[in-house]
Amino acid sequence: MGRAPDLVDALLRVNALDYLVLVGVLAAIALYGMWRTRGQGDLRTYLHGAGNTHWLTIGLSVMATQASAVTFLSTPGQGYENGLGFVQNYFGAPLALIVIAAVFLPIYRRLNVYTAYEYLGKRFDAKTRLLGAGLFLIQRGLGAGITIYAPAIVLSTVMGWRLDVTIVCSGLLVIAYTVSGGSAAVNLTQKYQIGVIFVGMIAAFFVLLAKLPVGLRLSDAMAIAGGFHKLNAVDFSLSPDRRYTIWTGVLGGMFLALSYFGTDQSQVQRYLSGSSLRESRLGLMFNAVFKIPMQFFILLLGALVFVFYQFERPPVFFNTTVWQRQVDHGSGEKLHALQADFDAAQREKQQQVTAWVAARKVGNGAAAERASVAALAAHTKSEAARNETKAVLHAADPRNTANDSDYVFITFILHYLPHGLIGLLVAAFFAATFSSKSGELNALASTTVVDLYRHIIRREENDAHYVIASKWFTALWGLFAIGFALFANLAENLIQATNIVGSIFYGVVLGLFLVAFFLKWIGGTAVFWAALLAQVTVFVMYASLDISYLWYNVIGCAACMLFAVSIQAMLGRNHSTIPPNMPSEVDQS
Amino acid sequence: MPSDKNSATDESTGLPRIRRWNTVYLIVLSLCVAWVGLLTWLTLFYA
Repeated sequence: MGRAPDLVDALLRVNALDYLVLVGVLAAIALYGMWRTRGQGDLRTYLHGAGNTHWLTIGLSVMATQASAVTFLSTPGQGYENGLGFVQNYFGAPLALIVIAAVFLPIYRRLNVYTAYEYLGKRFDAKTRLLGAGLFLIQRGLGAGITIYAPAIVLSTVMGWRLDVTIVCSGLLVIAYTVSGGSAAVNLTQKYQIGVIFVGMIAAFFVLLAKLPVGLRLSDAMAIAGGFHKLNAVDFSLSPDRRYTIWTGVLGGMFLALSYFGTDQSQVQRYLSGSSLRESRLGLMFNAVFKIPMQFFILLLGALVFVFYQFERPPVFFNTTVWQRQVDHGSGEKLHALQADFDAAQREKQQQVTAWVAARKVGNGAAAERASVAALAAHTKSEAARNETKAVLHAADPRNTANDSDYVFITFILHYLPHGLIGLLVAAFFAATFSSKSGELNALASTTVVDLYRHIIRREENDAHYVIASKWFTALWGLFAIGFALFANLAENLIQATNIVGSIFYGVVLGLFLVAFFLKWIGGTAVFWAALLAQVTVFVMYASLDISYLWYNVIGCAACMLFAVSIQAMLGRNHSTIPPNMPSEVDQS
Repeated sequence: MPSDKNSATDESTGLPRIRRWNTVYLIVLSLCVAWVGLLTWLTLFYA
């Protein structure tokens, strides 16, 4: 059997110019990064850069490390499917970044540490340092696999590439320049990669606006999106089973961001490369200011793609490769019938939406109201056909329907963007993968060398030896991530899977650091056992409860701190908790 | 990373007319609260 018609169609949509832009942009950034950062001699330069990084570079680097391809590929799909509600996830981030800039950062810089876990060793003891480093290596190692797998599965499907080749090629390229130039290469390449991403996303936004029907203003498009409940950004519900509310966002999101930005070495390493405390702080404040607007913009893009498809013919199922495969494997009659139902509902909806916009323009409120009600009714029918299609595909193979929203934005790009820009957008998705993955590999190697290898295995070697070891560990972690990605079989929406893995571990790690910073009387033994108990508690709760995963950040952190206080109370007062000259809290200027 | 023991806690912001970091934090927080307010307005306006 040959390729599915839709896949052939997609392949024809990407021409030589797109491939030229894609390969040219990615290779140019990687090669330039390798050339500019060649010959990183000593360990500190290799792991932290030359120490002359400007605040804007730090800010972009922190942003690029966090915002993976999942952010730019999957988030518009969230906006299309569920509206702007996901933006609440980031409401706590600015508060967390302020706390980190004011409290965490001065301590790290004052102690001149390579890794965040080195601080735990100085504040508590070796076993607590190893626990913090171990938890980081487990969750970030798995996260690095997801970082590379998530976009590869979507891009390989729609572009008709082999998944394994996509994963291996993209993985090897990022390993090459990260091994070669270390932290300086990561910082430098991230700056250009995030530039490509921004240019690509903004270009896509303007093309989308230009492709809306003639006469449809942005205010009309917003009204249509609002009419279909796509602009519900803030939810004040107190229900614990709602995944995104203002409360989970502010509280859970703050703990998630506090843990991720404050204790995850992939971020700590980025802002510790600043030439001064001021540069590092301003880099963090840059992210505090732009995090919410950036996520809002990406989600709004998805909501406007939804509006766009009210005047076009969207597929009933965006992952057309899966849809076509199931048509070829015996469900064709049923799926074609559902497609016909969906198309009929879409046509009806298009008529009503057009009438709705026309009534709005002439100020006929009653007609607009009637049309909007009819459009919503037609939308219910089209959603029923889409959901039934998902059910048919899911019955055939449960993996089929998990992440269709991840295919929304790339489908729009391939079908409606001009050549050259298609290549730039695909390059932007890969650039986002590279920027996250390089930061993660750099951090995984640093932690492995500084907290395990140099601390336990080879304590008395020279700098050159540790630089070579760092390069080897960078490569090994990269290969591990590629291996994990090759065998990954994810079921959740990609961006949620990344956050869920993070949330299960982050709370406990944050608890370790908060005890270190603020509970001066607690010693290493108490906090060590408290962290282990808290992690087990989180595992058990995750397996048995159905609550928003963001709450595990709060629960893990609170459990770790409470257990630490209780265990220390049982052990009796610790007389050797904080070594002399060891800052726990720091004065703010 | 250069040692900056002296500047670790009392380094100036380097921003025009803003000397204290607490002022920077307050401005950043205000901007974020304004964003949340705008998004709340958007939700209510199009509800």
